[in-house]
Amino acid sequence: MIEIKNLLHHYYINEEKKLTALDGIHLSIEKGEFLAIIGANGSGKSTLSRHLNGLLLPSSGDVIVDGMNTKEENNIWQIRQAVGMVFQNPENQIVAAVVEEDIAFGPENLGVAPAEIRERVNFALQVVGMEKWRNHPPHLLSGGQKQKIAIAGALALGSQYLVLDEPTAMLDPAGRRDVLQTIQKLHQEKGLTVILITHFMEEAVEAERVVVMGEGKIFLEGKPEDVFVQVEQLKKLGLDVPAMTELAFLLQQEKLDIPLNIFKIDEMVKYLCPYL
Amino acid sequence: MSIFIEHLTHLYSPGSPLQVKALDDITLQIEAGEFLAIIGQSGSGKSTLVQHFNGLLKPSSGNIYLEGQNITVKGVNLRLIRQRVGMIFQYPEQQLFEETVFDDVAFGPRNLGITEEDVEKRVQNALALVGLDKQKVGSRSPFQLSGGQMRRVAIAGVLAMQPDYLILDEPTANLDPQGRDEILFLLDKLNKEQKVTIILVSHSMEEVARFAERIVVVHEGKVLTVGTLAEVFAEESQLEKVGLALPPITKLMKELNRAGKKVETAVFTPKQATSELLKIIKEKRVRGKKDV
Repeated sequence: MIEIKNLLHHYYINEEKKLTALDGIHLSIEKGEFLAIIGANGSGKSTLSRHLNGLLLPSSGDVIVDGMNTKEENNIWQIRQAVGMVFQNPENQIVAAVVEEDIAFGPENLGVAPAEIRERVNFALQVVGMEKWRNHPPHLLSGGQKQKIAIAGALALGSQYLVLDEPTAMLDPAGRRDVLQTIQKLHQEKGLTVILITHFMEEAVEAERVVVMGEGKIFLEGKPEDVFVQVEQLKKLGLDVPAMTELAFLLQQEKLDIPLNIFKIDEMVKYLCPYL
Repeated sequence: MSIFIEHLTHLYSPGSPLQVKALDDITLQIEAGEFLAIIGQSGSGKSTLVQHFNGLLKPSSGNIYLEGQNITVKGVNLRLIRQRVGMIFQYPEQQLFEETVFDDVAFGPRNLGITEEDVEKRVQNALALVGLDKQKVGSRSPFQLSGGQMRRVAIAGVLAMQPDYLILDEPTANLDPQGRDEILFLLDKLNKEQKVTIILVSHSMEEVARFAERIVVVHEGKVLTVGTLAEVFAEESQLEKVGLALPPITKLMKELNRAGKKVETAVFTPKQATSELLKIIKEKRVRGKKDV
């Protein structure tokens, strides 16, 4: 479990001027949960994600991962093993010249025995469905495949929490689908805790819980079907709602009786057919 | 008035064992004044294609004509061509470099050898077009602005050159929905009010469906289809085969069709769908009353 208690984060522009990026965040993330964090650019969601494994440390407040406070220097390496990170740009997080060596990089640095490294790499490659590419140079892979290699790297470290900061922002639709399916599989089959930061509302509805951020604070929090019905509030924050919800919202204004918590096309078809 | 691409083929690393055919015999006409979208998967060749339009890349074979002038032959003044055909790359904010917003936008015009007064006018106009106020942001460092604002400053830098054609390579990547909308509305305004030809490279069908008049689908270095939105979106199975998804609203309309409901499927946004559905519901009510 990750507990965030009254977390404040300031960025210093110069010695006098500071910017409050996170302003009193309280949030508990349960083990095995699939959480999505959405918010406009500059709302603080990436800053928050970097607190989850101690890449950033609180200006005040606490972040506690499985009982370990990120403020304690002695905890930091254990926390970073527990909480794996995948960033936006697939080009920026691959270090080795061959896929399997890249995945082995983490456990090698922990001094894991070679036989076990092999096991972990095999397991990670199999989970993300990239066994076929193990001997490939990563720069020849597509963006989506590179992101899956980054995910595999976290798995090989033994991470129980996977934090993904807009992992699909630079991918085409096929790559996006591929990465999202991998994330869902990890959550459902391997019980991994997933924290997904995204601008794509169609991805956020797949989560069990959605946190909406604005100006460094948590604005809304709840199940997707409870969050995305707040169409006007979300738009005020500069966010979208899924296309089906937006349509339902517009049709409601025309006095049609269609609920807002519809995200899937086939559900919408069911509601619309009686009218047509 | 057009850009005409004739049998364009582009090879990367020609003659080496790593030779790749990035573009394969592309012929395409872009009309002045239109809003054209070029879509395709990563690696399909769409960025390579547009980089030929202002002579940044030279074809391995084939020709590019800008309003009748072949720009691929020796002795062409590429500076003039690049003034007329502006290019905005992916993540253009990474190319900002001056100390102030004003200087950054002024960099291009100052190299044209025009008076400082004219430069100032151009900068002011360009910033106004992208929705920024010269008085407010002109003297600020571009690096203190938000991501969406930085991107708009970078776009203003190209607009200050007053191009007739504007190419944008995935200009909304990484922006939040509001920032994305600001850019798309800006392009629509430039196209309608300033008569700038827009060539928008994207892999989002939802995005191009909002403003583009015509779509070119590029796949494995070839043009798969060219046509209006309705024509291209009619070929759903072909699009899905090449990894492109229809906008969810268009999918919904097709599903309704399959369920036996007669609805127009060339509908791309929730707003359009609302008016189409309301029209049908009203017709049904009228018919219902007549039957009674």
